Amino acid sequence: MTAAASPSGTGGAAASVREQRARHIRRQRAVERAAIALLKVCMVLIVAPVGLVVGYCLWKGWRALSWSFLTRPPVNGMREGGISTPLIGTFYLAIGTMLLCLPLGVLAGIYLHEFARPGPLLRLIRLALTNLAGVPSVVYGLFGLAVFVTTLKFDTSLAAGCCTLALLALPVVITATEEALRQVPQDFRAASLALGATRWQTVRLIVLPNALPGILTGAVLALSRVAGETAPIMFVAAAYYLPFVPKSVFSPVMALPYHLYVLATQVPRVPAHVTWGTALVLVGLVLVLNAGAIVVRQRLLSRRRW
Amino acid sequence: MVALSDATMRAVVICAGSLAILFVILIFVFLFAEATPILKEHSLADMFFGREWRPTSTPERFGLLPLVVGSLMLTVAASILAVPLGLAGAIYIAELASPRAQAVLKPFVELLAAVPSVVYGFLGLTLLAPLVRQIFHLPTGLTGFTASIILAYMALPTILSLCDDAIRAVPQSIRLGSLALGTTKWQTIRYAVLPAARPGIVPAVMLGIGRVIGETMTVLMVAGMAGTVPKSLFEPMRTMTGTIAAEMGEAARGSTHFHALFLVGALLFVITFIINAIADIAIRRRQPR
Amino acid sequence: MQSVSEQRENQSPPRTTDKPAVGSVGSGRWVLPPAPARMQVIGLNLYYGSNQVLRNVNLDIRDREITAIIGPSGSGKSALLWCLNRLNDLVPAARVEGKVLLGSEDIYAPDVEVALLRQRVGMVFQQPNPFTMSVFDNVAYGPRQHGIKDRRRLEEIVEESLRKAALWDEVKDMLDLAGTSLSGGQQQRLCIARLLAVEPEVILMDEPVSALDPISAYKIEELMLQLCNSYTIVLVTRNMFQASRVATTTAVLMGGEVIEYGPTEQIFESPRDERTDNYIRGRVG
Repeated sequence: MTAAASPSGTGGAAASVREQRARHIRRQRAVERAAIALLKVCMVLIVAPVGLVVGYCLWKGWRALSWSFLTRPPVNGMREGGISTPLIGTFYLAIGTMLLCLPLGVLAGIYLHEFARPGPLLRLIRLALTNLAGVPSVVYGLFGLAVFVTTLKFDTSLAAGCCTLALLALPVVITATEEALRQVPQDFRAASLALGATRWQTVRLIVLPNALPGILTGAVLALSRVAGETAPIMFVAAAYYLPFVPKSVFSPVMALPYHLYVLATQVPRVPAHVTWGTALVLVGLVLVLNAGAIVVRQRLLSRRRW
Repeated sequence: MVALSDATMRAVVICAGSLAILFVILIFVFLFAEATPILKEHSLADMFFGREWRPTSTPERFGLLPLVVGSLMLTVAASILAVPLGLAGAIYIAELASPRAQAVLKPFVELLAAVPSVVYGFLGLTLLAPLVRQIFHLPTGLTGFTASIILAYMALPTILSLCDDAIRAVPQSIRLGSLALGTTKWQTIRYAVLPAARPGIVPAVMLGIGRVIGETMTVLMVAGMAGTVPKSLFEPMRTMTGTIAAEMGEAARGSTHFHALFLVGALLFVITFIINAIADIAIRRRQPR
Repeated sequence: MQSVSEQRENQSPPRTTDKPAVGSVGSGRWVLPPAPARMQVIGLNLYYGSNQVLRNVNLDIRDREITAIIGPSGSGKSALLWCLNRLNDLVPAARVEGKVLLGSEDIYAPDVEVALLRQRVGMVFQQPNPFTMSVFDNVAYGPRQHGIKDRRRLEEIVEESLRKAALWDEVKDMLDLAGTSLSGGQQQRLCIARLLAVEPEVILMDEPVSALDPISAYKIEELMLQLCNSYTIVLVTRNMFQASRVATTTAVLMGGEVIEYGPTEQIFESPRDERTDNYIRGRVG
């Protein structure tokens, strides 16, 4: 088998080795074709159902979509009318949540990327963050129930919902902030510090303005996540049915995802187009937010020249 | 802005940063504080080995086995579907798809991850469940099987996206090195690229599984929520998450049932904590290289 | 270390016949004897999209000798090397015209199995690129992929290849260690061993030492001189002294054209092209 040592040798051994290899590679090519075909089948299995479902969803829900569907509250046991109250409720919840978690999350992100030094505290925070990000959303609901609803006596309310969702969105915002700060070149900081600015001045005047678009993108992603969550608000904020928009932060609200859950499982004989229309609006809302964030992120990445 | 001195702001951001730790501790404390009262009436062993979850019957039964077995079966079944499919999709996108196809497929998959779980649940309930009932001639389409398919599709984007990142992070020189030895593209992917990407693939799979375990709405709407230990995947079953979501609204505050649900929540918290810690360690271990 | 001139003496003395055989190169006192050509590049043009990288390249690669390709950066040296085992196929917009013969077969003929070609014409890269697996598995990778399953046989091949790559003594006790944990020079020799395990006929070396420290580089040069007794080597390098130390023949590439090809000593001592002269004296590139 040391044919290589005599490459010009045309002895029987070398020839048989070459024949063997040729046979082996033909087999490997067959394996390769099969493997690639299988991968393609898998890709179709991933994409096709989604395509079908999206198409079906559009087809079924399209009929319900109208201006009055968006602007009228549900009536007649939620079997008719529109989705204005849940839509507004979700809007309130999302805004309230972002007001709470955005400042906290950004400050925490600044700490982690600009101030923290490696050590036990940092490691502990990181562990806590991964853990927070991984806790099932329904457990946040339990926590919100125990703390905000019961202990702090917010009752089932917009306020309790916002606080609970803010906790849930916090890891998302922190991670996004850190990522955005990481994109700002280290030279910028060095230049500022060399001019005698303090760390905080550097962060506020140099780093944050440059990281702002990235942070906002992250905030939009967090917003879309919050808008779609159901489990954590089920027993903390959401109302089964309300004929009006909440007057105070301490009253319960309707929320779009919970409304969909109720329509799909709790109310008998809801016309299909109402449920599908609700689902379509919810998916549309979340996907538009996400697609927007993705597009903005791509723009930022391609436009950046430093 | 001299008023907000460097030292003040430093203190502020440290506090903000440390909040994460505080919150984890608070969650832990409140969950366990609300869970422990049940131990006065039911022993831990009784609950963990109890085969029936009937919170409203008399006497009430809080056997955790149906919940735990249900969660386990769904997670395993969903993983069996999602992990190979997600990995295959990642290999396809990272190694075989044309740049144009990549540019479409990757954002598409990321968008999938954003669809709210209640929508997945709704789709499972109205589209998949009737299908499953007809195909397998079952009394109801709301079974573990139905739920695990939906769960698999929910975990897919996470697994696919992170595996794709891991495969892309493998340096081009590895591929060249293998191809230059006269191997086929598939041999190169299978025996050189995937081993190099494995440190990134493991946490991807863990995080995907973590998402399945924590998923609530889909299970609540699609899995059927039976009160007994399931014998097969084609039966209705309940999970820890679904149980909390379904019953917390009805459980009177301070009742045994209420505390039992908190116990389930505490159990979930501990399980996901362990999974995330393992995934985290796996991620950190690959960083120095 | 066997010097180039010693090697020359081992060969038959230069013949000056009126009918120069294929492979006879050089003129005057630098004529090299005819030798079988292992590879021949004939009228090769290479395009990346609309950009022509190689222009009508003609080159003979003499059997079991080291052929050096030198030239300023951007001259197309590496591109030429990558054409010799069709790694250029991986560049999306690459297009090749002309012929490259291995023995008597055109490697760009339509029915050629590229994988088999690359088993015969292997490559060592500029950056050592061991796989993320143990030293043993790195060397056994090729044979395994080509169908050898017997553990004993694999162990033999691994030891033999590591010995040939002058690495065996350094790693024989740590075959289970990750290939990436070796030093840079060791990694490069590991990559050479990995290649030898596939039993190639031609070894293409793409600036194999430019990423290494001088001592590691010296070891690899020494290794090249040993290997060229059994293998045909094509060396791309920016280091002209390296070419003059190890290569029998040298081709000078500039702007995608071979401006000079001949015995190494002739290239360095009496270049016929003014541009070669300028390049070698450091006035260009």
